[in-house]
Amino acid sequence: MNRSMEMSHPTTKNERAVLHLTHGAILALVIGAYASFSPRILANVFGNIPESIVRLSNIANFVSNNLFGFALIGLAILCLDGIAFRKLQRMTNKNWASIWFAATTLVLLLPLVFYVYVTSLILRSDF
Amino acid sequence: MNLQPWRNADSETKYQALVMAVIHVLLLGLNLWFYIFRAYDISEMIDGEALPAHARLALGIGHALRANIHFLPPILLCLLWLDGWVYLHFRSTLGKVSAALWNIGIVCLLLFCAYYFVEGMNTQLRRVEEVYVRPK
Repeated sequence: MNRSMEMSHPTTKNERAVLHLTHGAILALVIGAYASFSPRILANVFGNIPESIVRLSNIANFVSNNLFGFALIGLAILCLDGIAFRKLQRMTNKNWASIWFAATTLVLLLPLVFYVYVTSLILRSDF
Repeated sequence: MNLQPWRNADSETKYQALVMAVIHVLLLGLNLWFYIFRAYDISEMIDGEALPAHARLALGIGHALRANIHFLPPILLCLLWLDGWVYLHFRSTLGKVSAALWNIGIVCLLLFCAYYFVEGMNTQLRRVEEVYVRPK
């Protein structure tokens, strides 16, 4: 099978569409969560707060101030992700492409885990 | 109707179903961690500041899950088995596009549950900001 035939193979196309939709939805969720993080000035108001809350507050400030840039970075990540997936499908067997799919999904979910961890830390703290 | 679609599946189909199951288990586990262990209600701490319905619903779901935590493992295992069965059934009868759409639908559903939780917690944080950080 030559390259053009393989690139237009419906199975490969479907798998890439699933990859893009899944990772695009996770990225949108992560960027939206960080951009809408509410008490951004919390770190400046309270004194003895954990380092993780200060870090999340700074990241959230940065994301909401540069939302357009982050949307572009997200699109670039999605493109690179799709290219790497296609290369793995073409150069190795499909199992490695599936492993890439699962591993990148896990990595993309980590910022969301950090967000929820810190958010609940703030809500559990004694104001 | 083929009641055991995994019997006739080739190795590639089985492998992709396994990867799909890993992603679904990962997202389901994340949601359970959110709703059961990270949900925290501060409505009592803020006098006269009732939470909106969606935030109360997110907290209510977490409370209901915690109250019935012993029933969760068998129910979730059954749901995961059904998810895999439908995926393989669609793949063997309707085609790969239908199976991929099923996969996308379940992933979107699980991501929406995660979004709902994040929004519920963020609503409470907005109240914290209004009451404690920016006092009127």
